[in-house]
Amino acid sequence: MPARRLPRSDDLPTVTLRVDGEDVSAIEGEPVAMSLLAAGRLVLARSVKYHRARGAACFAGRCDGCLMRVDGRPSVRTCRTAAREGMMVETQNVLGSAELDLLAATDWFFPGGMNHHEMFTWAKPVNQVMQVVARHVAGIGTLPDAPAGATDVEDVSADVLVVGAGAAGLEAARACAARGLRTLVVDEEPEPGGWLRASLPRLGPPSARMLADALVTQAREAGAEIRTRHAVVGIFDEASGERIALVDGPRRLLRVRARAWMLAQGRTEGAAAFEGSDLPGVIGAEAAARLLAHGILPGEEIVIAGDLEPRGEELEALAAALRDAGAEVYGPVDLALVERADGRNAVGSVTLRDAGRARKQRCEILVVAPRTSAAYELAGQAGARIRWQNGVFEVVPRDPGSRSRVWVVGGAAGADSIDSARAQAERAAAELADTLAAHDAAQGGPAR
Amino acid sequence: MTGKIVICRCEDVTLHELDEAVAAGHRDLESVKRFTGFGTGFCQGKQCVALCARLLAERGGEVPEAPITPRPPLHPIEIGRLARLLEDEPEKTR
Repeated sequence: MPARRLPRSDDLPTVTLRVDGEDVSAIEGEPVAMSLLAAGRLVLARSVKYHRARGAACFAGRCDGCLMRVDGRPSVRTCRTAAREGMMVETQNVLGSAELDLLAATDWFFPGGMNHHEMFTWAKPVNQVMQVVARHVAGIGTLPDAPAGATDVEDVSADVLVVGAGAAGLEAARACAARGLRTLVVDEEPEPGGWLRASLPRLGPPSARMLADALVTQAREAGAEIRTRHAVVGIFDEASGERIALVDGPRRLLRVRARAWMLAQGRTEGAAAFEGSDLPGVIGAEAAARLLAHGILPGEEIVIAGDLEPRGEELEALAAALRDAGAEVYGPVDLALVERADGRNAVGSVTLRDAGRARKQRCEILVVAPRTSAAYELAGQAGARIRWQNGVFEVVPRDPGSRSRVWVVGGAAGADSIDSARAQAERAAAELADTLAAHDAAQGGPAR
Repeated sequence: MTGKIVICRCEDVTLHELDEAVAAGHRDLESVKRFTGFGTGFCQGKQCVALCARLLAERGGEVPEAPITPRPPLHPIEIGRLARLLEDEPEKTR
């Protein structure tokens, strides 16, 4: 059986989406990609060159699997789009449908991939013809029906911009605000709490969710402002010497001028390399946890494969949660055993090779959980150093005595538990407040 | 299925192409990125950079000192919305 919604006690309002001309029922406000999965639609898109089947893999806005045309706007991440009544959702970039796309022929024409450096370069006319063909076949989506509507720009100034409202970000926000600093927290998710909202953390539900609520309340009571559905687009040094973050909110763009930056964006799951690793139905462990937190069981037969060091314990917890929800779960097994995933449009089985013997395991969902990297992108842009460590990227800890105004805390800074993330955030907030106070004292009074 | 191993799903880059890059003499992450185009798609490498770095190191390439340079936008945004920032500062755009 495909994905299904788990029974729930609360009665949430439902809406109807119009998906490629068919009505699909959804829970109001949930991510559209989840509504589609729950309605049995695993294949949402096609890849940019070979038109390989694509489905949401991360459910966190960090992959290409769920891009669709929504209300006339192309390449919308449906995992980051809240379901609303009457929303028009369309497959883009296909000749046929997401399930049967005739352009997938390109996948067969180029079995090794396309080497753009040499392909069709032997004669100019051939090259020109192929460029025209490529422009029709490749790409993601076509222009919007209408220009983007008016967007308000809001200028905000703060002492501290906290990016990420998980345990570390919320604790840091509380600690900064409690020291009298004007503190703004932005987070991409619809609700603050980060991983405390999903069922995967060691604390487990519902206590993790209660902790999230408590941290949100404490941060707000201390005076921090929290804005959800706000994602940082970039961080820029202005000619004036000021540093500005551009933040994309639901209705407006924010230009945030902050004196210090507290980055708490957690970790990124990443991918693994095996045949079929890009098939719909191959999802991350965090994606599986997110789905459970939204009351959706992604499939009845699930295989979990991951880097058991260091993620074994976490994957055992995920397996237990999926079993509790009624799934038949195989694993967690070592990711290195996965030889290939098979299926035409979606995963149907996984071949595991152990001590030279291959074995096929049937599954509707393959959870792939490689080692995670720090979500380092913004930190890197803000000047933090990033290094390669144990096969992933990590943020280099801040030098004591550094004049940098950037602090990285929580999972992104290697914290491996809620408690250590909070302790780290509290220390960073104290250091940040001291740094700003020392600066102000040197200037003979508080800066702007 | 055509036997491809896709290592960067946004740009459909295959393991075969990474091998071609190594065979063409590329040893560091940045060069391999420029040759294959991995990490240059919709997610800007959030999914694939660590994987590509591991695969390159396994093939005798350099162990990276840093990832490919993260540049804005870190989050996809409509260019029409960005243009709105310019309307706000007319004297600077002329």
